[in-house]
Amino acid sequence: MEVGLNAIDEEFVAGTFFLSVASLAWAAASPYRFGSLASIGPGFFPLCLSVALAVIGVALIVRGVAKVEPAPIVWGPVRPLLALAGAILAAAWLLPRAGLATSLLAVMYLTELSGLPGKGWLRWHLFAMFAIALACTIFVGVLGMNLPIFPFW
Amino acid sequence: MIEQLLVGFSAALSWTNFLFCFAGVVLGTMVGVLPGVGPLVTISVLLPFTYGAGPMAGIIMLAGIYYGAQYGGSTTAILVNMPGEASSVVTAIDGYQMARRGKAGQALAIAAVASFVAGTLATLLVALFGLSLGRLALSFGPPEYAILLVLGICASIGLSRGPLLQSLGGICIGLLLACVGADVATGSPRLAFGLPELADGLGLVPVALGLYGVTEAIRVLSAPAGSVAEIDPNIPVRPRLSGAELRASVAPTLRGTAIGSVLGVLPGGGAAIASFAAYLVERRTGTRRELFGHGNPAGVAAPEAANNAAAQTSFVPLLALGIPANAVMALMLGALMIHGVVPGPQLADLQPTLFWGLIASMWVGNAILLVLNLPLVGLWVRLSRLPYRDLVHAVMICTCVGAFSVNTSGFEVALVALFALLGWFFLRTGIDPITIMLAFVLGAPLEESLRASLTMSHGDLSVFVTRPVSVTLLLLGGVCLLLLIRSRGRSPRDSQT
Repeated sequence: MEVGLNAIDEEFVAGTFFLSVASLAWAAASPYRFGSLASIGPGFFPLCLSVALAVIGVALIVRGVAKVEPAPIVWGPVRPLLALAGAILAAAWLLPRAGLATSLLAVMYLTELSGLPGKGWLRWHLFAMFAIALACTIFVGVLGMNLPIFPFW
Repeated sequence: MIEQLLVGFSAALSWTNFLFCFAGVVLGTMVGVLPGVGPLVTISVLLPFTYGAGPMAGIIMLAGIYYGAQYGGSTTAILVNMPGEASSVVTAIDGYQMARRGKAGQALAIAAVASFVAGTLATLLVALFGLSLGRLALSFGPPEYAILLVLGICASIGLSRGPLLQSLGGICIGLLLACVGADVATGSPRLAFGLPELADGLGLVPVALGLYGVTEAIRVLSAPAGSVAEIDPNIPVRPRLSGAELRASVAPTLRGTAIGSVLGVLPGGGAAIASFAAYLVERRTGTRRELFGHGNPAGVAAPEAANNAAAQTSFVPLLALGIPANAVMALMLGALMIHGVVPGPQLADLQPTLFWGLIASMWVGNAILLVLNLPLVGLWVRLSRLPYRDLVHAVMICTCVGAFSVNTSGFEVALVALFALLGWFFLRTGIDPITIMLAFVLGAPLEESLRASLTMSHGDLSVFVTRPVSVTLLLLGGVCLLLLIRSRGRSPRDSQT
């Protein structure tokens, strides 16, 4: 029963994740009253669920470790994940502060970082202007959302 | 009854009412397409504008927004795997696969036609059986709901493409996510980690956008170059649905309509499970079962029919009993009361024009949806054929603005990023997020029903097996689940066990 460092099975990883979430949920829910069947408290469901999840997590870990041929996870390129997540986080910070147009521009710039095939500098910026203008028209103009387009307007 | 329906039609087709219906349906479709701006928000925003128009016109418009949004949500589910509403999550399974094979037009057309047929039949059912259906709904108490919801969540295992243990884990995670926020009975903020933004719980929007929309974008962008084929440009943009395809969709549509009509009547959560239930039944009984998950038109027709039928019949408890079936219906109830109309068993007798006019206008709205959206299919398909490097920007823009619009706060947007990270993790470890989504959507009503049941019975668990309806549900559901699990074991799985 070997546990090679370079062949971590995907079920092992999934199981570890489940176990961690279960522990987190248990820690977050234990301050609340558990109650009894007749009078269920706020902690009842979260705690029961964390126990169930922990059991499943342990089962997966055991299965992953006991495998003769582990199925290693192929993580693949992380650039798209980082770029898109970064773009969303930038939007989260900018939207309440800098207005719609600025935030969307930042989102588009960061999305490009995920390695999209090239498109000339001018063409891209024209496309971006068009997309942002369309978005502002639809969201603020047509749907009447309460979003300033620029920081000052 | 037919004469009353005809009176209703003449009222529904009056100039004012028709215009309001049209406006509602158009607005609803737009709203459904954009994630984050749901029908609930739109209806609450537009409610004050309906005061001057009289009760019928106002309710007609609000109702139009509601089922328009159901259809709009399916559009993005099919085109970019971004379900706009909870009920469109299932449509995305086969609908998006059809789109990836260049059949987006067919998928959208099937969705439109199935919704229309379902809406027509459901309207007829409401007209004929509305009052008796209302009485049926009364026999459903918390224990019955609890069982129904548990069965629904367990049945989601049948939808999952991952191994059994991972799906069960997904269910637990989904239920835990549903526990986040204020506890219904005591108001204490659970699992909120001290963040006031989480005190009200996690919204559907950040979770759905992150786990589905953004994760799909990441998946496409991470795929090795050249492996994500652009759709063959020679496939016509306005494809004709072949006679064979239409005929093949008839049975799924009818099955979906039946399931949706029954489930929509149940106040509390029926409409949410309608599309899932219809899809699962279709998987068990439909033809060409091996195609499910790879672009089977029946996988689009059945859930679409079910959710539209459920949207129509969820008016039954409202109009016949005065009990709203979901949050949108609760708003409708408020709107009706503001106009001085009190729904209930006497509504049909005291205000026949309003009652039948509303039912008739539901059909009119469905007809408008069909006429409006079939020509638009060409436009949507053209949009979806933009090279992905342009489409991804549209997806990102809609995601960020949609998430922001929920509470006008950046917090929900940041949550999308978190769920996108989780979605990517699930992608790599073979966990299918569908079980998480379903458990999350159904988790809150499930907990409430379980608590109510156990409070009713003072902690006695036998309440679930001593009531006639619950026993029937348990037996029926148990059999279905067993069949489902056995069929999972027999069909080939991608990941080894």
